[in-house]
Amino acid sequence: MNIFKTNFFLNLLRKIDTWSKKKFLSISIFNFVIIILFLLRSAGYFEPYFLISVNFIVVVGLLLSIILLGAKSREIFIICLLFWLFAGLLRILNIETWAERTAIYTFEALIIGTIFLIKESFKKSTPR
Amino acid sequence: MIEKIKSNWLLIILVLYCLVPIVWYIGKGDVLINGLDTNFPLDPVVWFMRRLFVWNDVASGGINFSSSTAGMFFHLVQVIPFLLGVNLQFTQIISLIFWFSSLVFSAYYFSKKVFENNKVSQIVFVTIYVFNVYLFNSWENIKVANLAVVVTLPLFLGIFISYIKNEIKIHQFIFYTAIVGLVSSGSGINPAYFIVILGGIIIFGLVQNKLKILSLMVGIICIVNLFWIVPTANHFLFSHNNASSLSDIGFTNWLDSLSEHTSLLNVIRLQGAWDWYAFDDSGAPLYIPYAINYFKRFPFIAFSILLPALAIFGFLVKEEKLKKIKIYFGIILLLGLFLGSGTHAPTGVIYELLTRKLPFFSFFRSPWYIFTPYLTLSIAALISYVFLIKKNVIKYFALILIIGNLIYVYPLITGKIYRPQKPDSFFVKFPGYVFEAGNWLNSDSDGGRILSYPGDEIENFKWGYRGIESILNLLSTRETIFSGLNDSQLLSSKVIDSLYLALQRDQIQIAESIATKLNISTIFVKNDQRSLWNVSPESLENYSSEVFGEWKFYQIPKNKYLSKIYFPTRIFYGLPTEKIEKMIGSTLAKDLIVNSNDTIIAQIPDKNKVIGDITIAKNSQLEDFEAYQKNSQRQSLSFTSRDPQQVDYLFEVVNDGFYQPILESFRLDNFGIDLSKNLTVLLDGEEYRWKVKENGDITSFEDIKLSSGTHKVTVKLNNKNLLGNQNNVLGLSNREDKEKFLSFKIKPFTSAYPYLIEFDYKNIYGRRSIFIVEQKNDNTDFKFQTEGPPFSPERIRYSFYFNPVYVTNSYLDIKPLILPTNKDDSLGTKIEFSNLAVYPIFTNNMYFIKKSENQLNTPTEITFQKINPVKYKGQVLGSKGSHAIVFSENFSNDWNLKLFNLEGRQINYTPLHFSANLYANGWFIDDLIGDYEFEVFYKPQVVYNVFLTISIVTLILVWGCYLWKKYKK
Repeated sequence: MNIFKTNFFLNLLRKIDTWSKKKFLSISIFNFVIIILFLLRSAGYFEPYFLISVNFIVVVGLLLSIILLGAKSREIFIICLLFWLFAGLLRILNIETWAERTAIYTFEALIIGTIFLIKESFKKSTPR
Repeated sequence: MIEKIKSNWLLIILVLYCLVPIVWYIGKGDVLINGLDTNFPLDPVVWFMRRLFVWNDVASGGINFSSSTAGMFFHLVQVIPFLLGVNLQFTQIISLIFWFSSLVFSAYYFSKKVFENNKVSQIVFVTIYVFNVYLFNSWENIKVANLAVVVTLPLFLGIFISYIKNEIKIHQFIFYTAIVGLVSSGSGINPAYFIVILGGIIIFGLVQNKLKILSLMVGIICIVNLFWIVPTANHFLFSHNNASSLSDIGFTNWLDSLSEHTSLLNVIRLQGAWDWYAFDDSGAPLYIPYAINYFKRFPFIAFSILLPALAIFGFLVKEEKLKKIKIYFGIILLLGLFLGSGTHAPTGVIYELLTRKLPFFSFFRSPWYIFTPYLTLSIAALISYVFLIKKNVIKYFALILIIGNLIYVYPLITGKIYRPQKPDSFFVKFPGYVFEAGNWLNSDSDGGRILSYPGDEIENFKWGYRGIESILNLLSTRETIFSGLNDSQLLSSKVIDSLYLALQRDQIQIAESIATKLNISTIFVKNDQRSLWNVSPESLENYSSEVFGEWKFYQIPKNKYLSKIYFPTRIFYGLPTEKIEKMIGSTLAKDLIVNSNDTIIAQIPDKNKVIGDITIAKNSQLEDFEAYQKNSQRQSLSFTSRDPQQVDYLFEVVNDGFYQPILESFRLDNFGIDLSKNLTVLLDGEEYRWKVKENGDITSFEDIKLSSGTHKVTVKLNNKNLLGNQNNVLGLSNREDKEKFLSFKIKPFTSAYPYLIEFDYKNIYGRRSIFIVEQKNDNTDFKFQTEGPPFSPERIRYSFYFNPVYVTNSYLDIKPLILPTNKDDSLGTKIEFSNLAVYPIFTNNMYFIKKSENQLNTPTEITFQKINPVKYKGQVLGSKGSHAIVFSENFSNDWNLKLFNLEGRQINYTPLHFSANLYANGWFIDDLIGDYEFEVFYKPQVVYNVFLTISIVTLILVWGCYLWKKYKK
């Protein structure tokens, strides 16, 4: 069975296609900001007054995904899970420093996810 | 049968979980889990009774014990089976099963409330919560506070949920909360853990927005725990010796060192225990042998990653009914991660800020150990969310996860957390003579303290037990003096150190003088203790003794023993005040030394007539050595010229008058001093011969007249170079790729004092020289010191000090050494050494005693009775006027002396209370003539008694109300 031809996968692709068309401008801005941040980082801009670290870019990325892409707590937790799995992979490969850094991104995503979980719950419980 | 098993599978698993502690003992024989932080009492009744008082009198002069009273319930669990005649091992097993079952029950009760009818989620929660890596440490040391937190937090939350869901009535809610509140009292041993419990409940109440019920629950918990909360708070906040830092309450601040390995990566995997990360030179774990599996083996690493991954996945499971409680788990997960990381980056900056700015936050000194219960609770719960997914395959996945987890935590299940068969195993078989000695001690109390010898901070017995307090405290009510790990905050610790030094040096007269002031009647020599101090002082053999196996109890003769409460005959100011502990051994038994800066002493009428002076002179050789030791850039002091052939004593005299010089007699012959007749000295440049009056461990001379001001006494020494004549120039050259050295051995060698090592050297060419000093014997290397004199093309004299480890059998090996040649330097190195010399340092103290004009009145007789650790009652007969009373218990303003006439009416007079002999309590009673009675009482006990009564009455009322409602129904 070719997994790429299953209904689930085709549906998913269709959904992503629709969503990306709808959010075309936001996705473009998101990508643009991330790319610019990486370019500024590689050029050493604002140093030594302000360091654009990978950590900073990750946090900005997470926040922008909420503002621009409409991510909810669920999406943030998915990113958090991905970060954690990546951290685990790095730990298994004995790349300790990077594993620890990625664990920090997991923690950051966890904070943002939990804040959104609280916010969503608050929204639902507040009568309109 | 099979049907029954099928329908009750969950119960069967839970029961099996409860019985895990039995597995720990299988094949181990008649052992107890004991040692270091695991203080399992060999007489549980003694330990339980100790917790009825807020002053612990058994430990080195006594210490406030307020927070430890919180362990009452924990020890009650041990006392009950013990009193029923169960042997010690079985008592311990029962106690462990009780706590393990409580943990299983707590986890099950909570999971049942949260996951209601989903048995798979429930069993997953119980498995992860009860069997996780964090609990290795808690069980290893059977930590009362940790166990109290992990057992009671889910129970409190479960009760909370039950009430919200209307499953229980208010009276049941109050009753259950009170009972669990009692179980939670163990967390008060370290109040930080109690705050963790309250924090967990408060966050839950806020998330659920049930403030009334939250307040009620917190209120009940606090009332039930008032018996330790109020005395502990009273000690921290309102005691006159109020705590301003961790060390004030007997804790060492190890926050940074404990946070060294608490990265978020480790904390989320519950692997933040510091002892996991201690390795020897070969890379093998120093303390935790199984830790290597968790670091290196793929299945263990993978599983450690899988558990947090499943927990994060738990956030993705859609379960509307449980969404609110999921927020709670999210919050405590974050809190557990942030707080558990302590001062480790990146969040450590905030933690450090909180420690500095937030009052009392510094008491959370072991963050990972304190806050990780939040993590275990949230991770176990969030993982259980995954099993709410309604798919057939999920059951099988749960089964794999449970089995995988049980394998993952194999040290906890098999008992490997106690390191069986390792030298530092916690499985200890106590020899019979330990119990025989215990029985003898409890039946033959003479009221005096027992000094433990040797005085290593950790007792390490050949048969396996290691303890941080005297082993006698495990089974006896007798008061002991020992050198404890956490004793630096005890006022008596400096005096105890002086006593140990005197005993090591076999200065028995000095030791006896200090022992009287510490109320010591017995010296307990442990010949089965692994120690560098392995030989007991020879002079002790003159005492009578009792022998129990390898243990020997030497009785100090009655005429050299001083009871805990006595009248001093003379009072002296100790000058300078920071060296009082060094003067105590030079005084007579009933002499009292006080601090000249003490404002209470200043209130004594005619103080200058009744108080004399003891001045300790500055020994120039000792001062130079101590300055060298303290200097962080010692090499700058290595080119200073030093004269080992004379010692100068500098001292300041406050008042004109006659002073008696006293010289410590320790090994004077090694320095060419013969005191058979007199001592020739230079006093302020003029030669005098001081006539010897009395000779012993200290030599006293006839009085000399001194005017006020600074004086200098110079004593000429015949300090021989221990290497003999070394006038030859030693030329050392090296062109090889390995080091070359010469070796000078000093045999026999005494390690009783420090040494000055000197030599001339000159670098001809090549690299710098190295100078190595080793203290060793055939079996052990005791100390190793390396000196690297800078490159000097001119001949120059270099000197440094070596402070040996005090052992009975060792020698010194001194090695001038040349390093291997650099590859690009074919000529190599050439150095010349000459005039190599090793001299012992003359460390003996010199004192000057000025007697007071008038002696103190001493009443005819004092008798007293110790009612309990906080109360003493006695009678004084024949008081002729002003006099002092010394109470040899660590000083606290909370010790109170009340006087009564013989009819029992209180005398309306408050005696002056001051610090005596550096550590003890002294009272000055002005102009009281005749007979009277007295009572010495530790005031905070009243607070404890009142609030213990409140706690007990609350429990009885709540219980009564519960029964009444039930009966009525």
